[in-house]
Amino acid sequence: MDNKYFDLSKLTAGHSGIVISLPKDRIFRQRLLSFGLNSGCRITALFSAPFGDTAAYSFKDTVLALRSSDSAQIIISEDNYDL
Amino acid sequence: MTYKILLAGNPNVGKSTVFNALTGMKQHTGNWSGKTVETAAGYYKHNNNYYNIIDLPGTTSLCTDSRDERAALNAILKTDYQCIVIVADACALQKNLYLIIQILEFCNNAVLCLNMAEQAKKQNIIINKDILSKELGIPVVMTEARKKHGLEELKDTISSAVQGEIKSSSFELHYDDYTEKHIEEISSLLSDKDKKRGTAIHMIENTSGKENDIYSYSEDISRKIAAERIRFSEEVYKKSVQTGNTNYNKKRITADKIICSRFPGILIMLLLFAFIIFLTIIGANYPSEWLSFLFSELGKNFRNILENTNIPDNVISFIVDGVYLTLTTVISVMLPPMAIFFPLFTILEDLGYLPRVAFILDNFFKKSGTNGKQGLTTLMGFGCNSCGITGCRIIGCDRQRSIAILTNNFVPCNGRFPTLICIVSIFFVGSFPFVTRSFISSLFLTAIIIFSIMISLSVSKLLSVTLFKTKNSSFILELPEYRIPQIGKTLIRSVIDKTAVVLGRAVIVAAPAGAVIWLLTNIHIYDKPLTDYITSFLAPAAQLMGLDGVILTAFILGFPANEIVLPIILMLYTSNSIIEETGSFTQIFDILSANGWNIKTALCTVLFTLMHFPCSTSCITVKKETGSMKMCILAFIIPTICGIICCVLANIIMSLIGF
Repeated sequence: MDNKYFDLSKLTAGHSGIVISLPKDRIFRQRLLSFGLNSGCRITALFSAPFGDTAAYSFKDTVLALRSSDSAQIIISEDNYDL
Repeated sequence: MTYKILLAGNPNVGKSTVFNALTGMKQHTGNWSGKTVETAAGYYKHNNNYYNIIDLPGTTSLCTDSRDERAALNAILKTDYQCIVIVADACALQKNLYLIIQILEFCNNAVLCLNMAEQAKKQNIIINKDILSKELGIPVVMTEARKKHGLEELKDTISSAVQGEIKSSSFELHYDDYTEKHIEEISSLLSDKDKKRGTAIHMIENTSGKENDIYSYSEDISRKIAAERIRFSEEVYKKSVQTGNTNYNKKRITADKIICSRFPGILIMLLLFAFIIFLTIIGANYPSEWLSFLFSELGKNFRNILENTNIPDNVISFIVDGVYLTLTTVISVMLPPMAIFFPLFTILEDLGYLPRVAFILDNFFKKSGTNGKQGLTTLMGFGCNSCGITGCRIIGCDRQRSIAILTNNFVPCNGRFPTLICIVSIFFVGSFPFVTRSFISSLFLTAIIIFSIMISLSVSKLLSVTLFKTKNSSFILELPEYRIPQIGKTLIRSVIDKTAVVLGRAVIVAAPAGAVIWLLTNIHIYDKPLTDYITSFLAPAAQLMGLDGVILTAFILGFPANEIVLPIILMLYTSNSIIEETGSFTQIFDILSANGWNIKTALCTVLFTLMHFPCSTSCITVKKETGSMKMCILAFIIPTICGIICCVLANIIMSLIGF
């Protein structure tokens, strides 16, 4: 298992990671939390938008689309261990 | 007795379906968060008691800065209710628990309505109602609102809850000592016994991490509170739900990988919308003709009746050729396209496809200072600008919503397509070989559409850096489950609602407009109708724009509906005093060219058609949606100024080239 920390925007499609820290922006952070996305949560990158920038991620029972400038604020550690 | 109930829950859980089922009211539901923004109210009677229900907007939580959440929170804090019914999706319970917990912190007298219970069973999700009820301290009812199952039990449970017959154990989620100490501190300053704890927690969360606040708590606290809620939801979920199906997300994701891909995703989207617009324009022709015919026959009878009375001929003409004619023309051109466009769009909406469109288009709109949801409202605007403006409710950020509302009019609605098609066919396509003409027409039309979208994006960008500066706010788009669209009663009901509203607003202005048009064309001063004076007055300004007085007058008189602009132009040119059926393209060409039209005029008219003040229905809609006269005025001025500038420029350029 690779334990490098990097931001979510760099997670490529099909790969997963564990959330280490959430964005500093209060509103953004609270919104993510309300979807259940917290530290320790497993998040998988699914696919990116055809015209670029935005990408879809899945965690728990939710699929969210985030822009790269926003997903860059979420720090994860790569963890492709399949449950 | 009368009781008041609040209906809360996440978006997409079928809350409005439950509301409709309980009250029998016609509130439109859509698989798209933000559909219900005004809190809708209704009531039902059960065992001799009246229950007033307020349907709150769907929210994922109660503490963030969106309009929906503020509305929901306000309702919970300030309304005098006896019970909150929380609607949740049985297939996505864990996600819903976050909000449930938050609401329970405000109000113990609640009922959990687990909707889509039958769909959950199909997906192998087994929920133990009793354990769940014990954990949360409130009664739980399973329903499948679409099929109207479980509603009687829900009504019974609500009735027991409001009458205090259910001993709901006080729900209290305990946070760590440090947090609890602060909650105690603030609670002791508040007076409202019931909602003290919830309010205190909310205040702490809202101020945590804010720099300039008196009670500024560290970011840590809000994170701890949220984390504890998440931990508790996971614990409750584990205890009460057994699911053999851990991969139900897979189907949706596989579908999305195709639908949101470069190929064939983009193609699917373009074809789908081209198909809808095409079907609307072509499909509406026949019903429009029938309606026209029907109304004109009725009109003849109407006139006969009036002629048999003592009413003077002038007044008869005023009523029949003025008010009645304009009114019925507007109805017969506006109704059929709406009756086709709205259902098609609603099906896509119910299906859940629209967030995918916002996902695909987001980058374009990000570069214009807004977001992908504006892509959707723009697409709606092609059907009807008024509809597009209402659709802007799905945009959570107020400033971005304002931009979307103000720029919606740049894309041509159904009402403007006939004018555009007519002018393009007559003036631009004529020099091409006959066989290719339809194809060339479509090319020009596509170019016009693309041009209008570009203008819409540019003005959005401009607005986002001037009047509606937005700090770079984060954009989260949820891609929800696909659902089978409810074709049938609900669809018909929702379409009738939408069509009725738009048509109603059009009619309110069309009738007086018809009166005005009649008066202006029939009242003569010094042997010339009033319209002549108006066209002469506007002529100098019009000529600067590459138009003429008549065209400009027609646009102004066409305020109630863009469809009547071309007929008014023809009416004024032929010195007719009533609006008539527009004839064939050849006839129209003859009239126009006899009045000095050339390619330059055609181009400038096309430009002004794309960029001028919105129709009266749209203006009324802007006022209703924003509650602001200022927005309404801006919505009026912005496209008009752009139109004037573009026309003047086009005029200058074309004149230099030699037209």
